[in-house]
Amino acid sequence: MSVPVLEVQDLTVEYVSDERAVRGADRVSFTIHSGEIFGLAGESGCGKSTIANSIMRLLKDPARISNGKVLFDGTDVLGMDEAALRAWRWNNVAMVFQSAMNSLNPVTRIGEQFIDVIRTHRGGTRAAALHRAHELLKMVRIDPVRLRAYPHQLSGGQRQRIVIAMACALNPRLLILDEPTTALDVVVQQEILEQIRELQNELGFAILFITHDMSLMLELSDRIGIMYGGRIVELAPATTLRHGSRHPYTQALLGAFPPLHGPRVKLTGLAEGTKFTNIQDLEDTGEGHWVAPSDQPVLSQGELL
Amino acid sequence: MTSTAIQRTAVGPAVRIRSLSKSFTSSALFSRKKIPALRDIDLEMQRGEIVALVGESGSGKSTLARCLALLETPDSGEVLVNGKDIAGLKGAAVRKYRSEVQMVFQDPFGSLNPTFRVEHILERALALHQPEIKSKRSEMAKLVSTVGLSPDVLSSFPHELSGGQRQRIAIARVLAAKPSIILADEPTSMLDVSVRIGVLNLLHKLRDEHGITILYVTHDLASARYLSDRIAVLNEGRIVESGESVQLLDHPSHPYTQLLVGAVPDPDRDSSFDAPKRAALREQIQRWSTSANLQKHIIDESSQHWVLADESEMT
Ligand SMILES: Nc1ncnc2c1ncn2[C@@H]1O[C@H](COP(=O)(O)OP(=O)(O)OP(=O)(O)O)[C@@H](O)[C@H]1O
Ligand SMILES: Nc1ncnc2c1ncn2[C@@H]1O[C@H](COP(=O)(O)OP(=O)(O)OP(=O)(O)O)[C@@H](O)[C@H]1O
Ligand SMILES: [Mg+2]
Ligand SMILES: [Mg+2]
Repeated sequence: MSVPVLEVQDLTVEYVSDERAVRGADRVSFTIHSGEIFGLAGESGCGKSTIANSIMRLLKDPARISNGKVLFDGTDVLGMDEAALRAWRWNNVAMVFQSAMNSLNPVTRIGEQFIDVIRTHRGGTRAAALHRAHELLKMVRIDPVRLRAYPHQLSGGQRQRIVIAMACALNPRLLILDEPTTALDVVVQQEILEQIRELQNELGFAILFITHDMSLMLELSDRIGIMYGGRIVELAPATTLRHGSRHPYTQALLGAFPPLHGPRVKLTGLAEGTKFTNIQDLEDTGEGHWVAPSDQPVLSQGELL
Repeated sequence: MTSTAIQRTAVGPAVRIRSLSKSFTSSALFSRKKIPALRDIDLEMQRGEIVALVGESGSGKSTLARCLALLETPDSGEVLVNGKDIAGLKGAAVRKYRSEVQMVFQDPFGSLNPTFRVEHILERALALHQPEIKSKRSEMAKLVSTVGLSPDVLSSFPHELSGGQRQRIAIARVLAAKPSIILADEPTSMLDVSVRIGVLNLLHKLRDEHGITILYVTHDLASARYLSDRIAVLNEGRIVESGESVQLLDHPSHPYTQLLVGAVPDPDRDSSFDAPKRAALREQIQRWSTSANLQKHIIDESSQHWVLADESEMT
């Protein structure tokens, strides 16, 4: 395979305050190759956004990267100075934040925000930037007249789509999407992701895709890392994970879907009180499938509602 | 307390919405284009009923919930809650209404005040809505554990929490108000399945044990089917189909509902989607929704399943 666009090695991030210290990410390693979609899934609070923010160098106090490396095309991201970071962000890597719905400037029209991003990082005329903004809005299925709208005049999902479009504006080599579609119905979600996939085929950029939606993740990603409590507990190609997951947490994630047909069955999610502690390093089980050993039994479920 | 008791035993539905419409004017410079967010909505919710509102992004789901929460004023139509027209509420009556009818907002990043610790946010809700509670501390610990968090989060600021943790604090705040109606706008969109099931089961329990009426806004059809008694499908501001959840999803009749059902991610599907089939459905949706003579047609009487369509589509 090609050279990795992104390498995360042994990354550990801590949030330290007077009252407590939380390990946001704990010795996390993975690589993403160019043209690859890497999915990161896991329970709420397990450290997905922490990893994304570390890669972007956007962690703020009291966060501290206490160990590990982030390499982009072999360049040490954690060592970049402010000027290098500014040139690198947007042009090489763009991120859609989990708070995308809330991350647009409330007092500036959408169109101006596009023009601003495009011209600051790529230059060119206003007209060219506006033209590009039109194209991008169509890509996310929003009427370009809406370029005149202010963020509060758009629905939650419309705002999310605007931010996705903006992140694609400069054709970055790596696109980080942190829960980009929480407010989108399945139809729009699928079509946008399809668009992104097409763009990706065309331009060959890599994607780090964070979501809790396992069915979406399995459909979209090439390889997937499953996280729990700051650690990766399983890492495998999507096709392997679908039918051959080995870690009980992964199995719980895959087994807790309410079905769309058949009888309504009461589900329990991860059984009350089930916790995984002291998670071991991943072990290679062959064919790119890595699993952290665990002695927890798999949960049982299925009483009728 | 007594008035609530009386209201809860009063006859009639908890919520009755009649021909509600709401449009926004877009701010385009020269053309003042009207965006119809809601068109002629009729919706009834019985006490203790869970109704899911599903539909595409921008179809008006949040606007409908916000009208019920007195955050938007409808252009026309009527909203009766516990038999009372909410348009006429003033002063103290508005405050009382707001504690009876609580909303979980779509965006957990925007809806929690960033300058307060979680404990302050919950304490205020308790003081406002349940002043009789003496030991606020233990009540707060109970609230956060109900939504699957440890009491540690009480001393955190919202920005120190992950997306899903914030979403659960927003739910805990609503529970602190002991409402009789909950408007939940995508309350679990950032939760992983195992936690999400916990929250859905919690909502279910609130309904079973306290008879709380719930409007559940979501784009997740599977969770709508799991939680709700009835589903209403919103398309471009209109309710185009409604009925008992299982029946409706087993027999989707409106092409828009068919489109939604067909697009639910399925990891075992090989190609992503069937483009020609989808284009055909879209064409059909367009034809259905522009018909001049839309009427409700009963699909199944016993499950109150109906679809909004032109006579000619029904043969
Ligand atoms: N600024 C902060 N200060 C203290 N703790 C923090 C801070 N930011 C995050 N954390 C903690 O770090 C852990 C990981 O958070 P993170 O936001 O990375 O989770 P996540 O996997 O993105 O979760 P979600 O799916 O709910 O968004 C959580 O327990 C969170 O409470
Ligand atoms: N304050 C406003 N000014 C102008 N237009 C608005 C305003 N609020 C909402 N709209 C428009 O009304 C329509 C319905 O919006 P609403 O937020 O109800 O959609 P929604 O169904 O909740 O969508 P989503 O699933 O994306 O959150 C959208 O086209 C939106 O752009
Ligand atoms: Mg997150
Ligand atoms: Mg909405």
